[in-house]
Parts: sequence; C-alpha cells; structure tokens
Amino acid sequence: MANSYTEKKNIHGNQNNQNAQMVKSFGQAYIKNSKGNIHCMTIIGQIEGHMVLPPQNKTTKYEHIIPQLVGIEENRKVEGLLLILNTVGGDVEAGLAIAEMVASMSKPAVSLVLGGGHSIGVPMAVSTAYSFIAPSATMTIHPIRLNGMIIGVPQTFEYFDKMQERVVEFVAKNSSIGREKFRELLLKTGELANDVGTILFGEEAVKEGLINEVGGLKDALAKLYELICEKRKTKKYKIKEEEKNDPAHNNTC
Amino acid sequence: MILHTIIPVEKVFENIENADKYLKEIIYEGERLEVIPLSDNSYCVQRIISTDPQSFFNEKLQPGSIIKAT
Repeated sequence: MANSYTEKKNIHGNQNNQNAQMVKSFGQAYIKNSKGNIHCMTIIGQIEGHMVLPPQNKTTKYEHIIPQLVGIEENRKVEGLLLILNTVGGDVEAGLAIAEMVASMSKPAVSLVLGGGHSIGVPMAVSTAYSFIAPSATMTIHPIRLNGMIIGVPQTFEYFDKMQERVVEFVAKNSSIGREKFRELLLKTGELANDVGTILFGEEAVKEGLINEVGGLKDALAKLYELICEKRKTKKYKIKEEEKNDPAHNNTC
Repeated sequence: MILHTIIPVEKVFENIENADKYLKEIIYEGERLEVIPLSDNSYCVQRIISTDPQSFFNEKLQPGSIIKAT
C-alpha cells in the first residue's frame, strides 16, 4: 500500500517536473487547442500608475501589464487575448495606456466585465474588439476628480475638462455610445448617493451601447475563438510549414 | 496624477508609509511571482503574474505555498 502510494507520488512529481521544465525552456506552456491559443489578462482592484499604492489596495500594475501585452502581440503562438475586468478604477494615465495598447493590438481580444468595471475600467472594457458584461456586473460612470493641492483658478477647471475629455473621446471611439450620451451619463445627478454620475447594470450597459453583449465566460471564449477563426482565414495569417502538424496550429475553427 | 476611481482617495492613500514594504517580486521557474519573503531564504507565494492560463495550474506555485530560493 505504502509502495503504491510512493509510486503514485513519484509519477505525479515527474509530471510536475516536466511541466516546470517546459515552462523553463520555452518561457511558457501553451494550450494545445485547435480553436486557438489564448492568453488571459485579469485587471483587478486599483489600476496602479505613477505611484506605488499602500498595501491595503489590491492593484494591477502598469509595468506588469504593458510588457505582457507586448509579449502577447509578439508571440506567434498566442492568437487571442481574453481581458477580464473587476476593477474599481485608478490612475487615469495608466488606465488609458492599457486601453490604448489593447485597442491597437492586431490580435483578437475580447473583454468580460465581472463584478465591476468602474471609472477608468470603462475605457479598458471597451478597448477590445468585442465586449461582454455579466448580468450582475456594474459599471460606474462618474467625472474625474483632482486630488491634492490645486490652484483655484478657472484654468484648473479647463485642465480638468481636458483630462476628462481624453476618457470620453476614447470611450466614444471604441464603443457605440456617442460622446454626448456618455457625457450625459457622466454628469447625471440623482443616481449616486454622494456623487454625480451613473451606475449601469449589465443589461443597461448593453442598452446604452457601451458594451456589446451580456454574457459570461462561455460566451466570451466562443466569441474570441470566432474572431481567431476569422483572423486565420485572412491571407495575412500564415503558419510556418513545420508547425502545420502541431495540433495547436491546424486551421480548423 | 489623477485618480479616476470609486474608492475615496483617503482610503486609497491610507497607510501610505507602508507602501511596498512587504511584497517582493521574484522570477521562479520562469514565472514572475509576487511573494512575501520569509526568514530562511524561502518565500510565500501571493500571486502569479502571468497571462498564460497554464501558469496557474502549477501546484508548486499556488498562492500560500512556500518556495525555496535557489
């Protein structure tokens, strides 16, 4: 009994070693899936930009995300990106930077908002080719605020408006909500207890044109594989001869 | 810096003097990990920083496991 247990344990251990070896030698172990190899990026907590936030904040760091996105774009084995969001917002510049990176990727990307995609999470959610929101998820749309000491002159307000315009512009460009409508939601009163703005539930976010569809993991993956399939059909996508026999690279969709 | 978040700013910056005190980032077996350093040259895994879904299946690197520095 004891022997068979140790044996089992050894076999298991060896498998682990092999996996670890694969990770070590190739940098990553990709999923052998004929529908496409995807990577998944989770955006959680606060988006951390220029300042390191105190430890009680759960953060998504800009310096982790950006190189990962470059890696995904550059790695021939990765064919798509699933962006999962559950964020309370954060640094405007970092959030917009991530959103712009995703929006300018050549590989198919699909986002899924779970729980919450608030504030600067909104541009990130709309940055992908297609977006999903869970029925119970919410998105808070509210104006940008300035922290710290500010000079009380009209120019400060103008500067502020300009900063906000960057978010409005990005969202309007990357989703089917219009600029005016988004601004209206941004400045709406009577929806939030102590703030100006709007809370959109899953269904409402779709109705306003911000998000494409209400759905979950299954829907998001199905859409991503569909986009990968379309991409494979275009002539630009060519696979090296030696990789054709690899199950991960046959052209079945 | 402008924060666009639903969390009140005083909550975000509470405890600022302890920022970046506990967590360290290391690369272990090709994976980037966020860890808490323990006394005897080992680390407690807090989070795996990867976009590869397979990275999260590695049993040795599950959050909470202790790994030895090599």
